Amino acid sequence: MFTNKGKRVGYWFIMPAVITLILLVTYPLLYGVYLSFFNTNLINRWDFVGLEHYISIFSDTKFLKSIWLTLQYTFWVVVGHFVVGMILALTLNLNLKGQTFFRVILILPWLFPEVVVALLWKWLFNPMYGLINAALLNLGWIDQPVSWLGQEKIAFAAVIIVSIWKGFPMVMMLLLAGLQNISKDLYEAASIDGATRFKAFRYVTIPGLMPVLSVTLILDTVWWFKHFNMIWILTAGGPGNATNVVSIDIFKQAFEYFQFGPASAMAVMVFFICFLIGYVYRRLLGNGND
Amino acid sequence: MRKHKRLLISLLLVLALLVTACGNGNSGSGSSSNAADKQSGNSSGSGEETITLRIISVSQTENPDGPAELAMAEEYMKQNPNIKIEFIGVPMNDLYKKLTTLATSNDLPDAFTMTPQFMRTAKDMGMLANMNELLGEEYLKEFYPNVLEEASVDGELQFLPWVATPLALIYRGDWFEEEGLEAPETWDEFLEVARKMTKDTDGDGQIDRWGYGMVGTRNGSGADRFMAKLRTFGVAEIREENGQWVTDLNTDKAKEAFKFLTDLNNVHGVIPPGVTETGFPEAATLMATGKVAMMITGPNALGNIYSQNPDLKGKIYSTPIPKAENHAATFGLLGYAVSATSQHKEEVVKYLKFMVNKENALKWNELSGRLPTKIEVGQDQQLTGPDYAGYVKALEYAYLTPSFSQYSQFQDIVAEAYQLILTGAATVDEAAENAADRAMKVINMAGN
Repeated sequence: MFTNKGKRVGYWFIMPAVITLILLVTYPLLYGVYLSFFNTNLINRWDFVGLEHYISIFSDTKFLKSIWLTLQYTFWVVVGHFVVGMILALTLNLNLKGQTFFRVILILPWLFPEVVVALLWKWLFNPMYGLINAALLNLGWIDQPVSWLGQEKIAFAAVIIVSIWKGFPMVMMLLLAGLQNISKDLYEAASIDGATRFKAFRYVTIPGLMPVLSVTLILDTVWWFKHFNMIWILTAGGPGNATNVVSIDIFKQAFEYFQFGPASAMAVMVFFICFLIGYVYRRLLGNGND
Repeated sequence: MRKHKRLLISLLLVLALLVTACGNGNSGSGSSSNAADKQSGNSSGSGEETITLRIISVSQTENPDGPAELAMAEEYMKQNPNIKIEFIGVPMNDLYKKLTTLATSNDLPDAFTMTPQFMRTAKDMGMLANMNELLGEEYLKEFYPNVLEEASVDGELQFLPWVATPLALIYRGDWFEEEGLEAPETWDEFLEVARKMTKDTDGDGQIDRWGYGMVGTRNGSGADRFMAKLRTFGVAEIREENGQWVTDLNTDKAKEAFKFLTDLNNVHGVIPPGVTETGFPEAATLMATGKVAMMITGPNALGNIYSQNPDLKGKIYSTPIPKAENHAATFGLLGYAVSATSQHKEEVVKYLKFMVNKENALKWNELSGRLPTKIEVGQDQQLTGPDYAGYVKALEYAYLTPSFSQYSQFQDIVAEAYQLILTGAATVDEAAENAADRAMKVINMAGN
């Protein structure tokens, strides 16, 4: 079977990682798919229903609405990450004074646990005791406390803002690493050819960042499409269904209604959506670099 | 030789990984109130073997209930040196998820908090031991019959009922007396007093006190309160009619109830801002800090409020929830179930009996406000003050939790409806029809 000694040794060295992946990723994935074909309480009731849950999902406008809401949420969060992350990465790449200090400060949101971030922001947004309302009332910008997490449109925007605040450092650091790998000679050559800053950004920076951009975009999109923790703590999917993203829907199906079969079917659909997103990105941004 | 060395190193790495992954098999999200080992087990000593009882308790996450329960357990352990009790604190709103997760991984503790809303689901999952056998019929005669009925499924007792926390209206008796107001009997009277209580008390032109602290979150806390209010309008979220389950959520009565109860916020402004974010802890704090004059809650809130603001003792009164058609209240029953898989059922039951004996029940009532469930204790109870009298009265109007297996889903159905109306995302008609649709789907899925 193995003719090359080196190859054999390599397989042994990746064995721990492979076993871990199988136990922690592949097995739960396959088990989830298996559950999606049953009406079950995971203990003593296993009624095989075939594709009934999948048919029910596609005929249930509520699930489709939550997918659409999740796509909107993901779009705005990823755009926010890239805009803020790119601006800060470009600034940090200028090698200004105090750069190290600012790198540390700017990465802090990413270091805090999501639960801590959500609780902090929940108190900032609190209509009676929150700092945001207190500051705005003192400045005279509002004359009544605002219920930031209690009104549909505002709650959705608030959750997006918190998610952008939490996630931009990762994008910033990846883009900064990418920027630092672009040769300065290219910028010099562009400058000699009379390129403006904007043209240098468009024709040198962006192409140079493309490999990093495509990976970051895929990771960020899939991560935030599946996001649960902060939204659950901030709004639990409310008010009403204003922030009821698909991960919250799945959680409720499984752990509040104890419908593990439908919840698993929904999770399988989310897997395929994430797979599709990754595939589309690679096709659009791959540019034959593979 | 080199080949064997590499093989050995790889195998050791794999083993180390497996041992690390499998080594920590205990559940994580509850906090333990005891530093001792979490595993139930026996250890041999010079005398009797030590038995560790693991108990999931929602009281551990509340104040002053948590420390009081710990003190009671310590007293029991002093009297029974061979018993070690270890609590795992889980908030009420997370209890059902936690129990389900532990049940699926076959890691349930010896006993856990149980409620009528979840007991049918727990019974279906095979979580619960037979309490009739463990406690005996003679012992059960000491309890209020309607309390036992509330804790039973098809005549079989599912958990030992420890305390009743019926819902009632609490209000600032001192403020009412200043304004010459009486406790509201009807919802129209409620609106009138709520309006009078909503005012700018410091003259800065901003309302800083509101009439009613409504719990408007989309969870069990908010939903249970709202369903009790719906019942006062003669609206049942689910009921049995001619052997079939039906819902009243889209009837005219229901729409009238939804409109009235949400207009308190949307039209009359007698509720502080952020109602959909106000959970039980937030509402209790609003009451404790003098921001609201009234709140619908169980007697456990009194302990919480007094611990935040002891000056309020003697100033808070209670009365049954106002009515449109009839007063209503939940039993608010809470107790402990014994796990079907516990290795120490007899020992756990002895401890539970200790918890509900007269001395402990009276102490618990004094500290937490929750009502006792045994007849002898109820007759001796010290609930004569104006703060608890309303709760004793409210028990007369308590309705049994519908014996529907998926009843816990109705909490979310009703909560979604009132949140949609409160936020203006749906009209009353739309929200009521949506709630009724969801209710019928659940009923049909459960096989009416």
